[in-house]
Amino acid sequence: MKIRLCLLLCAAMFELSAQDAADESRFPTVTPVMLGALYYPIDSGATAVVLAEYSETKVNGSNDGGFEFETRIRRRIHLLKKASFDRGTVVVDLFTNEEEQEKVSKLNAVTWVLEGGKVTETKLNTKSDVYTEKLNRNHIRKKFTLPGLKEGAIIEYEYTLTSGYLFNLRPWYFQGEVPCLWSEYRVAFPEFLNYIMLQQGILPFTIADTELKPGTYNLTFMRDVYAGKTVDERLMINCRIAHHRWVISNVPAFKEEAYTSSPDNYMNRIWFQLSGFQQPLVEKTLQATWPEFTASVLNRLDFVNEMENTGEWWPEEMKQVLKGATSESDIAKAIYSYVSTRFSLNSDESVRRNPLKKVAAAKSGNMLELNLLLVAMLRYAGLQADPVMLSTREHGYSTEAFPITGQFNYLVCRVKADEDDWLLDATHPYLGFGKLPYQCYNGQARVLNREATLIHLLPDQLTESDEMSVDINFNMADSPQWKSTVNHRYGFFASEELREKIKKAGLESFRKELALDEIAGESVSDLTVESLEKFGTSLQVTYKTETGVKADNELYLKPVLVPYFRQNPLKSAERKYPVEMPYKISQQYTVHIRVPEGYEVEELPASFSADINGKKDAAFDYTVTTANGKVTIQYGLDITKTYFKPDEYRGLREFFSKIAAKLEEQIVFKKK
Amino acid sequence: MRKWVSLYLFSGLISLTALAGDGDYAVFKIPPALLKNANAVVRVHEQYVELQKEDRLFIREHYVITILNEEGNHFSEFFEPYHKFLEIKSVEGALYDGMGKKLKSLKSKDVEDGSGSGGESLADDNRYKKHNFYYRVYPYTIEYTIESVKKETMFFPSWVPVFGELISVEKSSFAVDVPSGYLLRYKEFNYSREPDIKESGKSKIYTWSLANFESIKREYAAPSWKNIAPYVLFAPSSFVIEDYKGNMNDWSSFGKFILSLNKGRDQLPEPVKAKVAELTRGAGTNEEKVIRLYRYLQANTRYISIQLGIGGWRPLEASFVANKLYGDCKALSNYMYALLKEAGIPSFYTVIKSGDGADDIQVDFSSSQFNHVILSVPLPGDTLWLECTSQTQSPGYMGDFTGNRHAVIITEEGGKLVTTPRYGMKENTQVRNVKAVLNEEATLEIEARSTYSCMQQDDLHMMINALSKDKVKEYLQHQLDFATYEVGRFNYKENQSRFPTIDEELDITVSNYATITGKRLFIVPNIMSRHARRLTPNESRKYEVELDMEYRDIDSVEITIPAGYSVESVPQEVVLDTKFGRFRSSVKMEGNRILYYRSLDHYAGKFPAKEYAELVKFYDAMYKADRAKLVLVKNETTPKSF
Repeated sequence: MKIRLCLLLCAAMFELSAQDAADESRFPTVTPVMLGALYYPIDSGATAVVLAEYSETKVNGSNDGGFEFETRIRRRIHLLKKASFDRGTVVVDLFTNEEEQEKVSKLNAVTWVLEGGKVTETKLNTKSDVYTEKLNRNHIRKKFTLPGLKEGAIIEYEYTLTSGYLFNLRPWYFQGEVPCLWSEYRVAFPEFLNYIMLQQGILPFTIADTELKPGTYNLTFMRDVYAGKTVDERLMINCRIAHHRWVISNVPAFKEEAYTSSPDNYMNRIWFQLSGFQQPLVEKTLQATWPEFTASVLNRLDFVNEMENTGEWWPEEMKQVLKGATSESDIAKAIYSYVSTRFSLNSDESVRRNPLKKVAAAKSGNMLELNLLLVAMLRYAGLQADPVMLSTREHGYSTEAFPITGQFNYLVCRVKADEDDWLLDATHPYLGFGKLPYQCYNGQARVLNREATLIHLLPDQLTESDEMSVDINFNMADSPQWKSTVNHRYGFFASEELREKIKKAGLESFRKELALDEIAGESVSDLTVESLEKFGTSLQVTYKTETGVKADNELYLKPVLVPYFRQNPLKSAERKYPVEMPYKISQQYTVHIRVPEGYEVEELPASFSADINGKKDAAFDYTVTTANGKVTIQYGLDITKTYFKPDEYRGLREFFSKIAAKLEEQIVFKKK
Repeated sequence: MRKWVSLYLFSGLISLTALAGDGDYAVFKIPPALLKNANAVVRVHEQYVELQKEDRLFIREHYVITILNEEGNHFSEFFEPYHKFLEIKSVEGALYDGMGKKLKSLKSKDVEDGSGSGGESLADDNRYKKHNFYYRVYPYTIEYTIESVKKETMFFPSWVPVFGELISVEKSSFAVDVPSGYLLRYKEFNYSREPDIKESGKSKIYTWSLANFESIKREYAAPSWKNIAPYVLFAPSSFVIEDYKGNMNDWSSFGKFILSLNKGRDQLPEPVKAKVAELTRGAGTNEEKVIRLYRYLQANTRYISIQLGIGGWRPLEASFVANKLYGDCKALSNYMYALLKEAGIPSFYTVIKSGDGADDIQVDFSSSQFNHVILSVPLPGDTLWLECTSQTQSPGYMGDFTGNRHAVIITEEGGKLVTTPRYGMKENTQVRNVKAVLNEEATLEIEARSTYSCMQQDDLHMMINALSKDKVKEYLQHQLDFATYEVGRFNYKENQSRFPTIDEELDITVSNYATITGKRLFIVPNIMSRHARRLTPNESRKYEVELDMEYRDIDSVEITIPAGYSVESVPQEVVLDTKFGRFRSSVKMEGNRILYYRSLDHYAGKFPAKEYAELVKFYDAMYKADRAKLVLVKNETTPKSF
């Protein structure tokens, strides 16, 4: 969105003054000593280290009566190992359309290497060696690679990016894939432009400063004098400017970990959104309230207009679908089932491509289209339904305090039926009515209604419950073996996954997969899966296994046939970020083992329990009993919270380690 | 519908679209056999290629595919790459429902145009056009007609009537229209008939066709597509690309053409010539000189792909590389060639088809089958092979990327077919010695010392050269097959030669490695070399089994266990001697030490389909043997004395 500003006519005119020069001290002349550094204490094994990166954004008056951003970026990197040469190729993506083109200018790049004890310099030929690639209609990519690279080279490049898109400023990332000694970002906003700032990350700022200084803006715009005739008019605005400066020094490389919702939540960065204009501009608040924001989202989705003529494209089949549905919840269920199972998802992109009428005709749409269609159909059937927007786990947290553009990436549907509210996602039919994928449980969700109703979807609201019970009997006749009968009730989300898998590849392929995983036994037969067609219910999987044994003096048996947590899911010994599990976990396992004919129990695993925070956060209880020639082992694993702080990491890892060890324990039978 | 297929072959003029009347593509018209094991059916596919001028090919392609289910959707996308030498003139398309009723026609504004360089290249001309109706009511049918013009004749399209697995073909044809006197070259695979040839006046039309071909299902270690599905490769005799003319009737003339592209592009700037003189001074042998210059190349250049226009086939000049210190495989190989030439050492620019597991080229069909360039240097004794795009590879080593295959060297007399070094059982080895100590808490302290050779070191070579030490540790901390463990000290040492090796020192602490239940201790003596693959049995295996890589693993393990245990059960020695490999494992106790030995020779080769069951058995047996446990019992406590 390009913003043209309306100027008050009474704006005063003043002379322009020079802006402050950038901080040069971080980019000293490259010396043989600097080039001779083989490693840096911050990370002795790093393949490259950013010695300094500096960026500064100014707002300039443009020559078409508006303002534009000018962002200068300068970065110096020491390429210590050949493996880092990719950093010598730089890519800048620019947005472009008929109205406004982002531009790169003042591009310079240079490579320094040590040759015979002296510093030699190779410069990029910016005329012949900068390439432009037209990615698609609205995106252009500028690319260049540093010439003269060698292991141990220091490279530096700088360029200025000009953009008329005042609403959003490109975020500045202080942290990246390689360590950085000095990352600095400065921005100067005139007081007539209000920006809200957002920041994120776990590293503290080394410097965070704001200073107000007087300054002047110079604009040129065309004024109509009379029909068809224009003159250029110059205008100067004298005002105060807020100079912000943020620095983080000695930034380690970012490391991704398992059970992190989105790395973006933890990588240090700062970003901005225009919230309003002040004098001498026409005063205006751009920072929308939540209701304004949701209204604008609906408008952008083109949904409001579409709702008016739903009847025209109402599919004929709907009459069939609604046959016999009388209560509100019956109607809602029938429509949900119709859209989720008869329509197919064609892409995950969140852009409107086709009007709902076409989506209904094609029986196919993207995530946005299918869920909007669901809302439309529910409304047409007389129910109160609204779209709900949210940010999925992998997309990162969204801010509740005020709306920020680009923070939401997913849309679902809320319907009121028989006094209850239900959340629906037409793109996940196997979840069943009233259920969302766990990826949606990432904090805030906003209903796109007049009130912009806030809903909290938290991983703590979900529990994945899994139950398995097994009977094991030995057959010590001609070819000795043990046989098991397994009854496994899958967790809710695991059921969704398995339904999809069986639908795609069939039951036999699932049986083969079970057979390849030797934990349960050597061969798998008599596989049945109950409730395959009852979406939203847990799948009941049963099968039999057979495993050969040697009829020695001793017989050994590993009694736990569960595939989960045999390996510790937390691999790293240390962790800087919290563990964010997608849901709470509850697992129950029971096995009854009949002592083989002619044998007696020689040794049994001991009963055992482990916990975190005195069973408040997690508990594992493993008990062993024997009676009437039968051994029974039973365990329950409950993880009752989903968010573990970094200082709880070691405890959680240890907990998993103990479980993994316990699940391997064996029973020993001895010949009588 | 059937009629006009032959019709257009005579005239070559009739437009191919708009001929399908409503209902022609109805699903019920598909022969039932084609619906079996198929996610999609090619209803009709016609390609017509016309050599219009010596530097111009006209291509018209028309295809209709019925998508039967969700799994077939990937066949519904229209995706057509283009570049400077290939212009797409028109695209038409239509969508039909299961009854063959037309639902929609393609609008040109819906065709997406994008950059096809995919971030691999700094600069190239690759672009694509893409379209999808995104219709998902099954079955449905899509139809596309594309007309394009190739402004070079070095490459002819191939005929690949079967697009992939689980798609059957109702009718497919490929017609090539060349001037009467022109020698059209082709090679057929799994196609037993002669092409249909029609000569009329000045032109000669060859047609290949296929009807009612039932779908193919991919199997593990199956032969390449060319060996199981019909396929025809085409090549020109004489051809033109930009200002270059050539002929590829044999490898010699193909090589002469490449030579003409490279001509005069090996001039080095004076300072580089001086450097060559300096570097080669005092070198005893030519091999020594080559290695010094190759090391210079590796230290002073890097791979950057710039492929604009003819630059896709012609190297950037040596002076460009000298100036920028980068280039692609052609430019860097040509630069190395120039460096060697300056040193008075002849070498050959060598075209090759690279890639781990890539099919070898068709040696009896001289044509552009290559995607990479290396350099071969004839030396007394043996040829030294150089991969000029790698800054880390051993001089003379090719590995899984370019080893064990054919290539064509470009000599002054033209091209010559050669073979690159072969890496077999003796070369691809992994020898591991593990010393480990188990404590009373069942924690195992491991010191593993391994040496990986040739193709067994390729991945490791990439990893240790591409990642920082921290990242290597992170990788190790995630990759090993233990429930809970910490990677301690580790170190890698590369020994570069024609047969490179990597020595690995790796210390690991594994929690609860052994399982202690009461007075018993269960432990798997094979700590780090467990065969990971088990195969799904397939009673109706159809295709030959092709195993690519020959390798040998040898493991010796010594585990010291806490005092006071005696053996209750020891896994028996396992010896498996099969067509696919030889496996042996044995374990014994000596005092409080467990001694384990394992060796595996894994063969390569082609095996009849019926022997697949034995491969399954072989892998299963290894899988089981590698996980067998020792059971130890704690001795009854003896009275303590002092």
